[in-house]
Amino acid sequence: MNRIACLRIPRFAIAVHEKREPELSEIPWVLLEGKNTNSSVYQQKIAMCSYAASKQEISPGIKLAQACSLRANISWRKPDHFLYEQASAEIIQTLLTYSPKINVFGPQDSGIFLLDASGLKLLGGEDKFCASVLKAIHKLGYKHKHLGIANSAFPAMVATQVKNQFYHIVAPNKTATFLARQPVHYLPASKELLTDFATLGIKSMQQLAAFPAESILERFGQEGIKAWKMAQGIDDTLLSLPPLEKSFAATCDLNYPASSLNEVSLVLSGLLSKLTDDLKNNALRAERLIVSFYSDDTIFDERDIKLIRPSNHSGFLQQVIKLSLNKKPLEREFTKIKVDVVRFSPESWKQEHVLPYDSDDDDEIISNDLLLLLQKVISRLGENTVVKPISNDQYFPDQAGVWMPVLQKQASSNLLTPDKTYLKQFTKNGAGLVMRKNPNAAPVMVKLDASTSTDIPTEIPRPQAVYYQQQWHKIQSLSSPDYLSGKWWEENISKSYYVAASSQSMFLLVHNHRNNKWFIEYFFD
Amino acid sequence: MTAQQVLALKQSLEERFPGLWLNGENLSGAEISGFGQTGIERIDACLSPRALNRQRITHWVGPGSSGKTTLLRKAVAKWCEAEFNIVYIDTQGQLMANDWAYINENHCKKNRLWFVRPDAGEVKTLNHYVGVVDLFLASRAFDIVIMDLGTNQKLSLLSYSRLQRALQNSKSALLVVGSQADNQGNIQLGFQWDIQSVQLHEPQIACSITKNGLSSKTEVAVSLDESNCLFTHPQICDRRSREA
Repeated sequence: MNRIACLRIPRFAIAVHEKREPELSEIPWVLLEGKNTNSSVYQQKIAMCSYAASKQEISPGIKLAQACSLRANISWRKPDHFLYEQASAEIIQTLLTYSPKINVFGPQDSGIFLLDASGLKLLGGEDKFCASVLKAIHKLGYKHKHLGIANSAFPAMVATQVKNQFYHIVAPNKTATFLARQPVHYLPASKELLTDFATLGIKSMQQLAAFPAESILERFGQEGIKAWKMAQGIDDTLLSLPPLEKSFAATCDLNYPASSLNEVSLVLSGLLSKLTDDLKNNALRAERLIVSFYSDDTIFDERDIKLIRPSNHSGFLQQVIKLSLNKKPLEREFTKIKVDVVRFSPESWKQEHVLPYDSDDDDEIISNDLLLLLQKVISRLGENTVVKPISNDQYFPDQAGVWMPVLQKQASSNLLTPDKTYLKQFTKNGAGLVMRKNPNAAPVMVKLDASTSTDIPTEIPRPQAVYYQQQWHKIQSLSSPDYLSGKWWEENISKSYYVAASSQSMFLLVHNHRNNKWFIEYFFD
Repeated sequence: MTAQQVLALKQSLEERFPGLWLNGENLSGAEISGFGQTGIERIDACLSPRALNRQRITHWVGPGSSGKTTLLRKAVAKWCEAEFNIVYIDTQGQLMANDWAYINENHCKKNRLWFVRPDAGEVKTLNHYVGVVDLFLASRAFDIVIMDLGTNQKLSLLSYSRLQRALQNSKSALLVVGSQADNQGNIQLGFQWDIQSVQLHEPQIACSITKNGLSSKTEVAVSLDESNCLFTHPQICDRRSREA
């Protein structure tokens, strides 16, 4: 049976700030939205209030200036999403001891954590689990927290809203009964949908669940159906294992005092190379660094450096650290340096110089950088060396396609464009074998089986073995020949093509009827 | 059990039963971006969770006729569909345009599939092509650079170190296609026709895959029938007598 626990820390962002600055918990203060950073802080709206501020009739949504009119000396903080991410990661690490699967529900600052609570019977039961989890969270410094356990995620989240209880366990067979009396505004739905429910007089989940699915779908669409299912306790949210925590840090003990980075540039370069190699191996880029300077194992200066653009280039990081020190030089000599990548992001594999393409007039516009690249390649290898393949409606393999220089706009007039529909029908996503020209396409000796009668035009026996690379190769498998002739207006060609397989390779064996010679023209590779 | 021990246990389980406990994205937390896969299910299964890496050399090895280019073309078709820019450096000019034309015409959207091959009559040394590969890696315009050494050619250690250096400052992946196995690079895919089951209708290619010192083997079937069907009309009759 699937059981999911939900841990909810109300006003999570407030709790995180108060944990970092304990003095905040004793005064009324607010957290700003931080959206319009250009305007004065007093014109910014309040995103969340502390418990003390709420008691003074300050509520989210009003401007800080209005809040100041209610209480003059109210404190405020700007949101720090990095701090919330760190706090979430810390909670997840703590909860991993109690459950293997933990996910944050919604954004990182939601304060809602879903835990897999299946199979707790042999581990002391769900009551013991709840008590242990709440104790662990309390130790982390969070005063307000609620826990709920139910069969799926949504009822567990609703269970955390039960008043005057630290935790509430919904019995496995009581989910529908439990949800029936809960108000619909607990549903994770849009404001518009919840307003519609209120307008129609749907107040409890029991009332919502009583409607037939068809009418809900017709009136409210897919979102309505999702809410309707949740009202019945049907929530297919699955939990997954949390990502592994990574840390990237490098330390160097100098064993001598240094006063500037110039004195240790080589050491720092090596340190950053190691760090960036580590980041590259994990396909990551640094976003934020903390550089600590030690004097005899005591940190005397710490620089928090936010990069304007994520990077895993050691030279760039070194310059950024130097700029930080140029702005504010160190006050003392240091003997040890530590670089810690506290925030990183996945590597972007987007290439810097894209190949522009104007699809409107089907005309390629090559950037100057790419033109220069082409020029360099051509100067090294010769003209017409950078090409693209174009199909040609011809039978003979060497004429069925041509290489056209990439900068050439129009194909030669000698080319016949094949029917695209036909091509798509017969060339199924790269099915078929690829041929390579035999660099030594000299005539080869073959042993013919005189006893076999054949249907090939020249009525010659089928080959049994072929001599190439200084030895005889027995032909294990041989196709019936494709007889091609033509081009009598240029050079009369008359050839039979066999696909042959020896014990080591597959090749195209060709019998030239004009001179009665055999060739291995192509290898299938 | 501490949190660190739990994590170590999970990591260990993932190594023993890849994909069953964590997927590649969860493990690395990194973008796979579709490039890790070759599009050939059996090979991808052996290389799980990630096949080919950017900033790394991957070897695609097999004797002169082994089926390696056939499978490579399948992978190139998949990468072209994913809109990667690809440059194929055919050092000996052995490839046939008709084998690759339909990929260029049907699978490429806004991306490019370019080939670099020797001009008729011009012979260049492998070092010339190493220089060209270096240029393409440094250009940061191509996601995948394929260097086909042809038959009986091998890169020197000096060339390898030059290419490794170029890759460090690039966002491309380098695929070295050759006939001889090499110990450079951490991923090596070897190919060979399956001699025991050489069937012309559905030939099998035996693949041996070595990644980070661990080897696995698989077989991939390819079809012969649909190949090279670029002809859209019946053959023009030869109106003369056979001996004319």
